[in-house]
Amino acid sequence: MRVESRLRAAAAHGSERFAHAILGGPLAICVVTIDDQRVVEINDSFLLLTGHERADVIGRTIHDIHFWVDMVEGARLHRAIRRGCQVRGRELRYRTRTGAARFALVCGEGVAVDGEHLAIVTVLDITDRKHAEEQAVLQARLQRNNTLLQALNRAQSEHIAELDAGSLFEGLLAQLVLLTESRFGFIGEVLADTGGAPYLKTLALTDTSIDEPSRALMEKHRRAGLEYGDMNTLYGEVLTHRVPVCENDAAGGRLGSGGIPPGHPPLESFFGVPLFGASRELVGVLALANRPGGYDSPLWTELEPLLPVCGSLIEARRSRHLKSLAESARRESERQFRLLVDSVRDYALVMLDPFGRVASWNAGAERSFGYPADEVLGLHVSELYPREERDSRAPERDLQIAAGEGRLESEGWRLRRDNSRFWANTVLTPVHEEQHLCGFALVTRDITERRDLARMKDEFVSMVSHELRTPLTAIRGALGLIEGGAFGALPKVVIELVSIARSNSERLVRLVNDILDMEKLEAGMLALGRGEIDANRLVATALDGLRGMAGPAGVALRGEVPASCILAGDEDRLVQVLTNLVSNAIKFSPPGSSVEVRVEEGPGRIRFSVVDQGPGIEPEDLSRLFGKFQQLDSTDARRRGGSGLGLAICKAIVEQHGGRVGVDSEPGHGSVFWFELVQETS
Amino acid sequence: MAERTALVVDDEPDLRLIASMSLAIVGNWRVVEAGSGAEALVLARTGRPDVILLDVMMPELDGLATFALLRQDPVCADVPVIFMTAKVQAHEVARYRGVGAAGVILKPFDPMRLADRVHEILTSGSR
Repeated sequence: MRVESRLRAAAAHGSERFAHAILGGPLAICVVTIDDQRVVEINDSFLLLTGHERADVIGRTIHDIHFWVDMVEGARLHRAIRRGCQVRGRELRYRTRTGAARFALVCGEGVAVDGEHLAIVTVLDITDRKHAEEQAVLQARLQRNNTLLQALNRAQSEHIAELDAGSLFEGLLAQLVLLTESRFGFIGEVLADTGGAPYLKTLALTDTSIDEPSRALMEKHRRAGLEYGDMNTLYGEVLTHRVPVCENDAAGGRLGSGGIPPGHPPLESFFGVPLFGASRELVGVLALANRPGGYDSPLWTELEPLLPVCGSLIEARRSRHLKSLAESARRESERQFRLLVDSVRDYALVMLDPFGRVASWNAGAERSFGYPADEVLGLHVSELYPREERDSRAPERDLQIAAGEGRLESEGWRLRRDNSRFWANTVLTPVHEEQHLCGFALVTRDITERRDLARMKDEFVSMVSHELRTPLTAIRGALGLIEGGAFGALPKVVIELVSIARSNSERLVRLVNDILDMEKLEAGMLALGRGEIDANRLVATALDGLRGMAGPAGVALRGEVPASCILAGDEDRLVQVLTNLVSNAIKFSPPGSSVEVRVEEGPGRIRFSVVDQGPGIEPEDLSRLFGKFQQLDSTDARRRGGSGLGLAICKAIVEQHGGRVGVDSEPGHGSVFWFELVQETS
Repeated sequence: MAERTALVVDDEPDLRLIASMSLAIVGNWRVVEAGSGAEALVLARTGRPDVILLDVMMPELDGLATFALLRQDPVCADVPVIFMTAKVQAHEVARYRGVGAAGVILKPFDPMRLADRVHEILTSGSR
């Protein structure tokens, strides 16, 4: 009571205000020594407020009773008082006896009582008010978050409704700027240039225009997107380090750097956050600027849960954009393909459905068949066949064969809209989708002209051949009868001359035959028969036919064939090949030598070799032997009586049999001409 | 062996002569000549030869038409006919064989072997 009484005394003759402070209602008062903060007096309000007992407090220091929640702040208060300051209305938190922390508005000042320096600290509990205030702040934050959530919801709904991405992000940015009390900002998508370097392209940008020119510029940027590629900036830092960047130092160097165009409001504070997609890929940056008082971490805390949604929206927009690009590319490709198909006029390109009905029809089809597309779509393909073909169900058969074999190429008559006919080459291909037959591609070409030309050519060749052969038959016949002694013995010199005439007429016949064969081989019109051939018979036929030539030349002919050797092919044509090779060998063989035909069987193949003892062939000549009109020596044709087509014909016939032909020779060591046929092994 | 008669039909007199000489001198055939299809039909009916060598390419009544008419005539329907042709392409030869001829001899032929070829065809019934 000693101090209290002294205080009361001091109040009685001292300051009215001080007395009121001591006696006034809810104020808790605590008097402590200024040096060590030892409690010398407290009033009842203090005890009521803290729940302490007087005895527990008096004589102990403020530290001992853990009065201040924040000891540093408490110490600062006391230092201020000791320095002689009057502390007014400082907010501090104190602790009750039970340890509960409460808010207080604290005043304090130093007094000297009987030469003792004391500090009088008054504590007004404001916990309820603080709670109410916090509640209000929380309410406001909740309100903001709700608004932001609504903005995001709206953005998501707009995204789902596939509204314009620009307005979606503009709306979102406007809300974010408003809610964070920022002046302006942007939402940028992270892209990479052709070199892989990242840059930002704005999806939304606050309008900061100030006059007409800047408004036009802003409009352009908002429409096309503004690109930010300078990494030496605040947004560059966000992009590079993928972390939020907050800068409130208006005077700092960083705020002035990069990205602010002339006429743009100066940057006072900046808050940039990275936006990540679902797979943690950096997809965008949200940049906000010029919040009064700057940006702080509570704002970050507030925004943080909402940012993934922004990231997802950018990601979804990107995915939709890519999809749309792919779709555009597909449409463009389809357009070009359609143009291509429509511009083809020489071929009728038709799609049929699985039942053979026309599903698409190009300009070439219209040109070939005479039907416009709208008239033919849905018609069965059999409408394009002549009646007799339809009656025999050829169209259905064609579809069936194509479906079964994967392709059907054929030639035949087709019917135009005006009932005229054309000769067509058609390729019918089944089209499958996921293993299901979804239709047929039908390519038709009118080859009437080509067919007529081929027939004319064929008839011409036939006629020329016939017209040449007729006089040759007469010459050959007359000479043959004389030379053969049908009219009695003639002088030797006459026989020789007749023989020369006869052999040259035969040479002319061979030339005509060779030209005819070559023409047919080149036109692919030499139809080969395919039967079983006894190799012994084949060799015997060829050799027998040449004995008349070998005898006078003094060349012996020999055949060496396995006893039972059967092959498949066109016998007449293979006799022709063998005859040609053996007659060549005879021509180049010296008298007294021999020409041998050997037949060897190997696995899946059979080889015919014609071996002579002639002069052989220079290596550099070997490669051109089988070309057309090839005579190694320009005098050969005259000296040996060849057309220069024989080996080319042999090669073509053998190759048409699926075989190959060749020669092995060395000058001075004869030649071996051979051909090999592939044989199916049973 | 009784003398056999061959009817040689060709619009080319030279070829007719060569064929006739070949058959007559080398093969001892009695040969009757016709210069057209129409003449051949008459001679075949009246002479009823043992074989007819019939050229294919003739004006008016060609070899194939003559052959068809010969086949319709009961008097000479069974006389073997050998076509002689300078049309030597495989499909042409196959066509002549296909109508039922005894054989086909291609021009030019070896006159010293013509009689043998005819004999071979008549005895083997092919080619």
